[in-house]
Amino acid sequence: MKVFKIILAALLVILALVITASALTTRDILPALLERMDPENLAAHDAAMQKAKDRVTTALSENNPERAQRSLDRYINGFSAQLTLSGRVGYDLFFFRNGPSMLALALFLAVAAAGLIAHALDRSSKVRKLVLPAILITVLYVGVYIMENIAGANSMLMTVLKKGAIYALIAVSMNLLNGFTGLFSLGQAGFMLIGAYTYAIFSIETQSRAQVYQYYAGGIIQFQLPALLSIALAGLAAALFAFLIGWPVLRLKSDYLAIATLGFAEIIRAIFQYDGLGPLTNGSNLLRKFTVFETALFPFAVAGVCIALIALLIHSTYGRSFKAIRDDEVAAEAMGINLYAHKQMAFVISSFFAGVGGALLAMYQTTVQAAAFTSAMTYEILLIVVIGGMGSISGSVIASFLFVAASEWWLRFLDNETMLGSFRVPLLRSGFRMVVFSVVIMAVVLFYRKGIMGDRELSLGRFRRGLSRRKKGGAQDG
Amino acid sequence: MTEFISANLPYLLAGISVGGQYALIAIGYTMVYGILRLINFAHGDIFTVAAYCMVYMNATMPLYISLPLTIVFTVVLGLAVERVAYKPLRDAPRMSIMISAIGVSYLLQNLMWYVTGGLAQQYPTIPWISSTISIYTATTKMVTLVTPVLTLVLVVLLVQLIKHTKIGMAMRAVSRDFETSRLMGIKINRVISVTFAIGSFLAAVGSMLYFSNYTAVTPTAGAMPGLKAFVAAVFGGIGSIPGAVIGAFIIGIAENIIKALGWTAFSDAFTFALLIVILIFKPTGLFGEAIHEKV
Amino acid sequence: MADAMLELSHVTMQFGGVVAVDNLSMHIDQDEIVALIGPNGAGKTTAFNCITGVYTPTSGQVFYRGELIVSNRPQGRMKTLYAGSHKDFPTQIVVNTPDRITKMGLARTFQNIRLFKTQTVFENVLIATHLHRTSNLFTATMRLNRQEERSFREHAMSMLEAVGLQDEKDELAVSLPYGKQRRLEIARALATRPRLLLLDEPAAGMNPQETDALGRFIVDIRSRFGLTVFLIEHHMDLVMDISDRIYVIDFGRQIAHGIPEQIQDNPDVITAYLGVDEE
Repeated sequence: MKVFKIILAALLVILALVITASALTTRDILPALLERMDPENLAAHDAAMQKAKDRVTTALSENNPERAQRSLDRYINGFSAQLTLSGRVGYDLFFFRNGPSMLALALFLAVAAAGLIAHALDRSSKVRKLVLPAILITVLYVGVYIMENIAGANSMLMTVLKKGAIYALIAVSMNLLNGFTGLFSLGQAGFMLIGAYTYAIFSIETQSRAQVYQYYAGGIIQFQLPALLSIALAGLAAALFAFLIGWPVLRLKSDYLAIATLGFAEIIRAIFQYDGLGPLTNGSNLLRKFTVFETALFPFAVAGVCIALIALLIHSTYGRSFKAIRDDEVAAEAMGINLYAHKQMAFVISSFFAGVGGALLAMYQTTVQAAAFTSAMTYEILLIVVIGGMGSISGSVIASFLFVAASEWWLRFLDNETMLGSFRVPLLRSGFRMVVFSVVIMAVVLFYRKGIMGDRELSLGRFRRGLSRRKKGGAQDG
Repeated sequence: MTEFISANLPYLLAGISVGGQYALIAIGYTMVYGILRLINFAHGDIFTVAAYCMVYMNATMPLYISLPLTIVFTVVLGLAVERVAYKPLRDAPRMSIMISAIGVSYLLQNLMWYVTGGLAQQYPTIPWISSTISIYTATTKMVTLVTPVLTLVLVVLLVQLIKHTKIGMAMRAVSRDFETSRLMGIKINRVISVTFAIGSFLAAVGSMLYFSNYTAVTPTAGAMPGLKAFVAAVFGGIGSIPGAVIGAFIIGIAENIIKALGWTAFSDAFTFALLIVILIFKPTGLFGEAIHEKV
Repeated sequence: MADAMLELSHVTMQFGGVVAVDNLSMHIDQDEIVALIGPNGAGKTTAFNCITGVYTPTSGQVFYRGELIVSNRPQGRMKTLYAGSHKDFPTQIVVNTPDRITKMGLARTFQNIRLFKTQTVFENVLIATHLHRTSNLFTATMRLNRQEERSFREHAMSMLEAVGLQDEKDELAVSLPYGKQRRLEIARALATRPRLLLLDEPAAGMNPQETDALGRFIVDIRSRFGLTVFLIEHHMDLVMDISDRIYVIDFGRQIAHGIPEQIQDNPDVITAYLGVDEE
């Protein structure tokens, strides 16, 4: 068995290498390809064909690879009868047109090979423990990359993925506070707002500032910071507010903590809409023209790193203390855990990541306006956390994507007036989607209180055990 | 002197009026919290549904039918929400039931949006209440005077009910000690239902008074008043009805004083600042009592 | 003369109008096993709570190894409401939260078991190692504290072995039978490396054999870990068997004090527990 796995892994690696080599060597091959597609120079006798071919070469000389690709596609589609597209030409052509995807595929194969090798290794080996999650993560990112190329950056799928990743980060940050430390806080929208505004304020293009801040004489900040730095500042700003708010608020009992944080979120929203702060915040006008991301991999990368950090925190000695506080505050304190200091830690860290999430949200929406960050936004995140399972990071991530997919995409058909023949289907019109959605959420809250994952995490071991248990027909674990 | 009064009288009157409306909503919050230790996030939305109910019923029915019918519908809605969304979670951890309340609020808002299409509806004019009168130098609607009077009357009646009837005593017992009351044979379900019914009834009356003044009805129109009423309940001492009423009037008046001073943008934020202040210095509110946890 | 391990000086705890602990003075010397007994509702757990910082006494002082860890005098409403019998109030006010007191070396168990419900047996004890950490948030998150983490785990494991629960280490703490849950609580308290261990009714719900084993266990850990033990108990055989001295309180006041033999025949103690003969 072991030998088989290693042989298979070797084959995959070879395949991956071949694909990579092919993809890389065909990158600049277009001029030569054009010649090889038309070895007898049939274009010289066909004006239309020559014209199409010229379009490709002009696009090349203008250094416009996208136009070159499009012209090439039209050239091939229009004149496939005259062109030689078989054999080596076809092979090179394929790799030229699908280079990025092929590279991604090669990466995937290499990772799969690594996984097989790890599988063949000793069970308790440290390498093995790291390789499996590493495979899954790489597959995820490669998958996103491939889907973006296939489906197109502005397709509904990519929208869902981008928004899902951002909400995943925010949901995990809320779960850290509510699910892992037991602090029922409803202030998330406030910290997202601070993060979004901080990011936007620092990353608006300097030349556009006069236009954006038109009612406030261009605004007081007249420089632009790089995106990553602005995101970090967004998190820090939110964390600072959390530190200040924490002092009065964290001593309160759980119900009162909820309404105090809700109250603070509303106060923050009012402050950011306040005219007097206009030179900084643009008052009740929206902020725009700041750096945004182009590929879905950016929010995925940022969210991924942040969620990984939170996961590391949860599994450290501090994370254990948070869980102790959640389970029994009195006992935790008796075991030497300073309640206030640890609650403060959880609150500030959670808010930091909520701020980062807010910055990502700003980048995604391309405009930022305080009025949008209502308590309804906090409720949505809370519902995501509940659906995923309070106390489960993977649950929050999964639930975020499901939530965004369902509310933005899958249930959209419910909003459209549909006809079955001449019979108009009742109920289906604008707004029905959200009603159905709310009902589903209520069902989860009432009947599946533990959510999708309860307080457990996604793990291959449990998945495999679950499968084998179902085959044997044994008892399900709670 | 007269200038001062004529400039500020409208604000003062508005404050007393809206304070009374907040009070009617706040009582619902405080009663439910006293018994179930639940912040009924959906209460503000029930308030808004009552308004929509009036709008739609009044379009097809005469006032003397639509008005009582609205009240009945609102009470039924309140009872239904309790039965469907809160009762099953009575033995669940406290957070679950609060999340359920948030879920109901979310559902009601989306339902209202769906049914009404999101455009603001105009609240029907209830005769006499909506008629304008002038006091001193200010012109205002009759509702501004009716509200505080009606509020006080209802509150007095309610306090009498709680002090002198059997069900009132049961309500007091349950809010003191839920488990023991259950064991002593008090019909918990009945007490809870009565509590929700009273709360919803007052919310319906409150909505009639409120929207006679601020006539634009949107699905989120009740969110702010609801939140403020809740702050009033906390400020006065959650679980205490007189506290909630006093808190509501204070908030209503203070809010309008701030508007009078020109800080309109902060009139909403003021309510929350007040909330923070009271939670820091006296979390149990003006009239509330602290609960000791046994270690 | 060496400082007593623990000393209470005129500790009074009043809730509203009820005086739960009245003028309690006692001392515990190093390596002693001292018991606090009395009928239900006498104020024993309240006394524990005053010592460990859960409550701040209305008035009085607590010294740990000579250091003043709790000190208070009636303030605010209590100034007028005070109904304790001792009126000579300390001037200082010293308040310490329970976590600070535990860090100083006092650990406790609870009358109603307070285990961490969602955690396993091992995790419950592991959490109690956190207070002696030298890592900070950053180093712990980035796994730069591998050595510390390993020593925490080893320590937790040895605590479990000390109470004999090592085989159940991955079970959910709340799934253990009652007697084992009590043992787990003791293991957890021991993991904080205390010098003084306060046990609140450790033998509650145990049968005679288990109680016996517990008695031997307490004497054993006293010598093994160099502990001083202060326990609240109702099982008289256990109390008489292992205690060096006993304090008896009723209605918040001390009614007797001495070695087991003295307490057994003390008429006030008998009256407190059994009531006065009607005839």
